[in-house]
Amino acid sequence: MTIFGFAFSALAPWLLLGAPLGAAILVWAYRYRGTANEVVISTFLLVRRLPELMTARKRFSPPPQFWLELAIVALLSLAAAGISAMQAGEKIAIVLDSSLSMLAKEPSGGTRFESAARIASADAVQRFARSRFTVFTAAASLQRASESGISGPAAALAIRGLKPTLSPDRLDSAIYSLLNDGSYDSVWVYTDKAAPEGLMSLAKLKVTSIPTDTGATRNAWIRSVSSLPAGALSVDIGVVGPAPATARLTADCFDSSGVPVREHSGKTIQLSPASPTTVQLGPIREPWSYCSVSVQGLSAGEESLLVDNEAWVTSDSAGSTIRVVSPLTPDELGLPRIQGYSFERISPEALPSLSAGAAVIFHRTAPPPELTASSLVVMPPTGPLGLSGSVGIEASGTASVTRWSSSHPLLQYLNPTLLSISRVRPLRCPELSQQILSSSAGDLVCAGEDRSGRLVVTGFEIFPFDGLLSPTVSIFTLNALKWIAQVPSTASGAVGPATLPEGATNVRYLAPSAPPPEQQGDSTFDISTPGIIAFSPQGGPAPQIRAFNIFSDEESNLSDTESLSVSLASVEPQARARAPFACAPWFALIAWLLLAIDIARRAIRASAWGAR
Amino acid sequence: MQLSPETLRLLSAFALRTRRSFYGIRQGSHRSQRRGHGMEFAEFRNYELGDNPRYIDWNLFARSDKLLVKRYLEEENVALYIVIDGSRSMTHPSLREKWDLASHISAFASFIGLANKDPVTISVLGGPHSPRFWSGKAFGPLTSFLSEATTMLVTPEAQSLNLPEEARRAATRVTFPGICLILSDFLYPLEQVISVLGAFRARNMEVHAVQVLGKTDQSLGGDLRSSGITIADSETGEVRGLSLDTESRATYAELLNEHTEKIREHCRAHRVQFTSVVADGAPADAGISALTQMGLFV
Repeated sequence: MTIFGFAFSALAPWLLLGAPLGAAILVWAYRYRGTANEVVISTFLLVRRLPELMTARKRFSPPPQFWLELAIVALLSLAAAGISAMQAGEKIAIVLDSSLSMLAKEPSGGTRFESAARIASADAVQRFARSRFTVFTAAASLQRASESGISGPAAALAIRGLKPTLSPDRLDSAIYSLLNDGSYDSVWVYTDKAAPEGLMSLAKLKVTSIPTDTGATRNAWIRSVSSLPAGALSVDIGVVGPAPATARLTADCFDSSGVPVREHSGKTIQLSPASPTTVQLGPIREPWSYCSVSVQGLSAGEESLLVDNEAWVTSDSAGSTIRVVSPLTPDELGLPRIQGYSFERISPEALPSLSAGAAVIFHRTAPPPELTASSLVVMPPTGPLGLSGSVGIEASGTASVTRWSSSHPLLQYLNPTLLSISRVRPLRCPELSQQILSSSAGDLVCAGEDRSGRLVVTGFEIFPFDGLLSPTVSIFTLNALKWIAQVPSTASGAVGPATLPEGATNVRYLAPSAPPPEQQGDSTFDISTPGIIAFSPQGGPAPQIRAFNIFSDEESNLSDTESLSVSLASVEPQARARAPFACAPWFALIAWLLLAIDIARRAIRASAWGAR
Repeated sequence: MQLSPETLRLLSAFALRTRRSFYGIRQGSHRSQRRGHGMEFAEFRNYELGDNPRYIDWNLFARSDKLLVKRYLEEENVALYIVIDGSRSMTHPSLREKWDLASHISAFASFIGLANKDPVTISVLGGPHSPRFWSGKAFGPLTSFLSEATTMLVTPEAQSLNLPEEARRAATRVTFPGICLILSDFLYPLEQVISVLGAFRARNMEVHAVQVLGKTDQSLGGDLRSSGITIADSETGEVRGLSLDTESRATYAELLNEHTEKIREHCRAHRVQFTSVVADGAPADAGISALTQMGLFV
């Protein structure tokens, strides 16, 4: 599209008719004003001898004031066209943060989500009547919640019917995709996160942060639960609030048929906001299959978020041995320094014999074209990666992280900007994965999962593991190992879309009592609430169970209203691309200046309007 | 019309000067074609029966034995005819400055003439009947006549005139040839201008033509700065548009100058004194200025 074409499409073309219309009126006015000044002369004796062109008045030679007024008309027309286009054809995307933290109660009694919905509805109704809206919710993924291009009242109606989810939000990537989509003139975001100043300067993005009193917010939540040998449970508890509080931690366990065991385990603990508390329950001597762990103590009126006070855990342990395919030994990779896992170096030939659910590290080795186990691929060789991904040529020099998906578990407890990466092999992520870390050179980390397991690919070296010598890389390594190992003793999955073994049947909630999860794909199910899911594997001897929880410190820590982290470098050019509307006020300003000049000229000459 | 004392003082210093002699009506201050008993010797002629013997030059008779009679130049007054163009181009209310200037020049010339006991006749072409004023006491009635003519002519309803015919009619009323002062804008075809002037020249008069132009005549559209205007012909009422730019103004100025030069050339060839004045500013001042340009009053 040419510059002219783009500028024209950015205006309301029908209002541009004001320019020629105004010009015609001006010409008529000037001609009429000349006609109104009828001059009586003595005789036409000499006038008849003038050239016919002069007496026919076919020529129109207006004075400078005519051009001044024509410029004013044209500029006002352009300004009106621009402003009208700004308001009339504006397509607005309304994004409501529907993550877990939006369920938090406010002192007024309502939830943050209700406040956000109320503000968004009011904004949509008050907007210019011809604006068109599309409503989205952003939690684990961006979901469209209404038809495209609906009116303000219809958008308000759609917003009232929305419900929050129990998932952590992926708001950053949602905003990024909408801003770069190009289908919307503005993106309005309603969230409990803060908006950084730089982000608010983008003309097409408006972030409305729900006002919260973080100082008075109190919440206690279970950060993680793991089963220990001999039937004990390890519970990690977090708390935020103005003062220490006493809480009661209890575990209700059940056998495989769902019958509660008689032995109860409980403990009264002192919670401190300063640091998370890890409590060991049990051991429970009676055999149990799964447990429900809950923390209670803060009164219901005090606590802002209750749904994160309960967690589920299963007792079956598939072990946590991670296989390593690498030209280096585990010692050279620093793996013995990592606690909680056992590492076993294997050859690539042994891969097909691995059982489902196994985890493998491919260090500087090409993974097989089709994954059969959860894999962490570190610095794969340059070339095709499989599943349509690829690895670029290694580049030396320090690469800085420009964009990241902050809510992904791989980046938990991590500040990506502190990553110091000297050698990079830029990645093109496989289809099943998404970009987790990106730099100006390309993607640095990809992560995803499918029916065979989880996949993490890093384009930079994370070994040897040296602990505190390079803490940021070490935390990332631990997160990656934890994520691919899918430690069954903590929780086998998070609420949301979950993948069960291929051919799983009879998928149902074992606890709590809830409708069966909705199947979304061949082996993908929508796990909407935390609990124990039972299913029968294809050809398996006995039903298996898996626990699903909502472990998200980012969401449960209600006092930490972190800012959105959309990379300005990637968004701003797109936002600027649709900026010609900003010309409208300048057109109007210039028009008013010209008008002032015209008035000044008349005033200085002390002549009446229109007088000569 | 009221003349200020200052104007009257200025006018008192003027006198009518003729380029040739006429037969006068009464004794006056101008050399007459009549020979008689004046103070200045003119010629001798043979005594004829009936001549008064008192005028025989007896000294000459003694020397030459011839009876010769001495004749002297008579000094008589000169009839001053003032002809004002009363057509629409002079009397239209929008062009009134031309009429005002013409009437002021007429009044001034009349004042000077009457002060020298020259009879003054004002003839307004298309106007009221032309009276004759004989003495300085008649200046009051003369100005009243001009005012009456102004009231009669300077109205929107006035009709256009056949100027050559009106001029011939006025010329027939001339009884004593004298000085004829014609005040007109002469913005009509050259043939008509020649007819008007010829009508009075045919009466053996010393003709002075004074062209009185207005500002809109001199510069098309006057001070207007509009790009286009509508102009109306004061004579016919015809209306048409006009592109009023520098080029059209310049072309009009050339045409006016060409027309005026043709009239001037004609006047020079026929011993008619031609003067062109522009009605700009106060008519009294412009009138005094016009008198000095004419060369008729010294």
